[in-house]
Amino acid sequence: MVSKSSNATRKTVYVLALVAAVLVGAFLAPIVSDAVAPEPDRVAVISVDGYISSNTADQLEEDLEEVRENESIKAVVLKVDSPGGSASASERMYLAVNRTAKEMPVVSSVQGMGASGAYYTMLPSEHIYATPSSMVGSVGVRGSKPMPSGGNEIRTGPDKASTTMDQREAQIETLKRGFVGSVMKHRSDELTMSRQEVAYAKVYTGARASQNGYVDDIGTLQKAIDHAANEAGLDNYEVVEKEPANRFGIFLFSERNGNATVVVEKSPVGYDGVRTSEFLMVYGQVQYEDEVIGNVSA
Amino acid sequence: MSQRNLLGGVAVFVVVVALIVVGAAIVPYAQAFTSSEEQNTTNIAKQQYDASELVVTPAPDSGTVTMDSNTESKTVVIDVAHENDVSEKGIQPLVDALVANGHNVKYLTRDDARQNFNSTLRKADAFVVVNPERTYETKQLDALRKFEDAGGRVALIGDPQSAEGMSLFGLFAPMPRGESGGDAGLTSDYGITFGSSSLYNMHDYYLNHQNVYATPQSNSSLTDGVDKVVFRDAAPVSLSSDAGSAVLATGAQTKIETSRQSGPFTVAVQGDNVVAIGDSDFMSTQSAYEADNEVLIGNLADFLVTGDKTEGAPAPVSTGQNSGPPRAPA
Repeated sequence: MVSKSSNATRKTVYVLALVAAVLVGAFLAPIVSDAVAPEPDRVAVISVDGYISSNTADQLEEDLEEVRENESIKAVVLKVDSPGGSASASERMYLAVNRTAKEMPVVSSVQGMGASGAYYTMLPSEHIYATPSSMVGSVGVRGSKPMPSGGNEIRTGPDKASTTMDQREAQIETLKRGFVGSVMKHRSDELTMSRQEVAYAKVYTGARASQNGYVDDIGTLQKAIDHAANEAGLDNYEVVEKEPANRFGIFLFSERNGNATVVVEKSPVGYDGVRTSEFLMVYGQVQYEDEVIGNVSA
Repeated sequence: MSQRNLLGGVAVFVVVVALIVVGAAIVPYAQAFTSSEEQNTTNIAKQQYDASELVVTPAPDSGTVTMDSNTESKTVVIDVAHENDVSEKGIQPLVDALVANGHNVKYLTRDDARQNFNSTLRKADAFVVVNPERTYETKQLDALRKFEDAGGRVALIGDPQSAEGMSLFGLFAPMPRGESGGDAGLTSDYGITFGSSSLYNMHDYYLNHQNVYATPQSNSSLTDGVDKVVFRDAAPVSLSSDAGSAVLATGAQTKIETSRQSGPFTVAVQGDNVVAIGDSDFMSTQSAYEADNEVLIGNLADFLVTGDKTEGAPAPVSTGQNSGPPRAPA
């Protein structure tokens, strides 16, 4: 009787140990497998959506930095659907894409709109695809005219609060030169038009843009992914998508009219906020009190 | 299990844990040190942009508005009675030049225009009209004709206006769609019409494509000493062959914004007693000292005070003053 009981206890212990071992093994197996298996090659698809703000630029810079540091990612596709936005944010995004394009193939795919600052962003791309009805172009800069300086404050200099019309026009012309110059730098071999014609800031349908050199070809996102993978020499690859960040915060909303309103602390001398001008690379109607446009139809 | 084995086990445990903890503490510092070395990355922005090629600097304003004429004191009337789109700053340099040279500058108010239009012109030597937005009465137009026929000087200065808003008073009749020709009203007397659309030049401009350059086209008192002027938001001016001479025109690459018709375009004309200029900004405090604008302003001031108007013209009308209600824009 004692021997039978001892054997049963031993069997129970063995079974429990076996079950525990299987459970632990099942938990650890994929971790170990992932740790030791080689990572597959990947093509990263990064979205550039909506109005381009400083937050959009922050997000894209961060995404592209991750892409550059991730050895499994061999190529990038920019999935663009944006009318542009802040000039400084657009410029930052252009530079971030430019840095990435020096390390791996970057291909862009225009979904609906790839205008102004969004077009600036994808200029370093090795290839730009657009669908026939998408809108591309609007290479120009705009900004509000200087506001008359108020007479109820003391300033340390005549241009402390605002600026002159000449100075504002010169600033916008400077930004325009940077934008148009970048277009010519990246796409002069493809473009069928002169620098002055580009500076008209027209938008073109994807169909027309594929003829005048603003884009390289008519094509969908999948075609852009295939192109990027091919440029990177990939036969088997995974696609990883980076979704756009939420960029509809209150601050961004206030940026949309071209004058970012920065709320400061309630002041004992009566200031409720500060209105600062912002230069825009955006296509479409913008509500301004008054504006200077760097091109005919920016 | 002996006590010695137990202590040995505890010691191994403590040493291993200590190594792991110390290692975990050191690794971030090591990584930070390594990454700080790697952060010395290429300055992409500097590679992409050459600031010396990008930066645009406004030309410094220079010069003063001077008048060459040395005539006796004259009276220049500036029309503000017809909802003229002109501010004090918009004509201050011209007014300052006239006053500094001993001439009188008066503003024609709406009440004066209703009740004393004829008598105001009778006392005036020159009449300046800038961007009127209310139509002139027929009797006022008759008086202006007689004023000009009698040697009174008239300056018509207009910016591009929308075609819908350009009914005005016939003096500034619009060209259809910003081009030439069209109903001229009283301008048929002068043979002058103003375009309703802005000019621009994408090749040769001052700071912005809408700030076009204009250069003299013929010898005239209005352009004497002018090499180049800057017109912000200029309108083309057309004239019939007997209306005078085109005295300022834009470059050949100038275009009309609405039609994209290419220039060159006349932007200032001068007849015996009438000048017409398709821009008012050139004489504003903002633009008066850009390029040779100050020379043009001085020449305009000279033109206004060097007429030879017959005294007492225009004669009083026999049946009441020109006091009818203003006509609504057509």
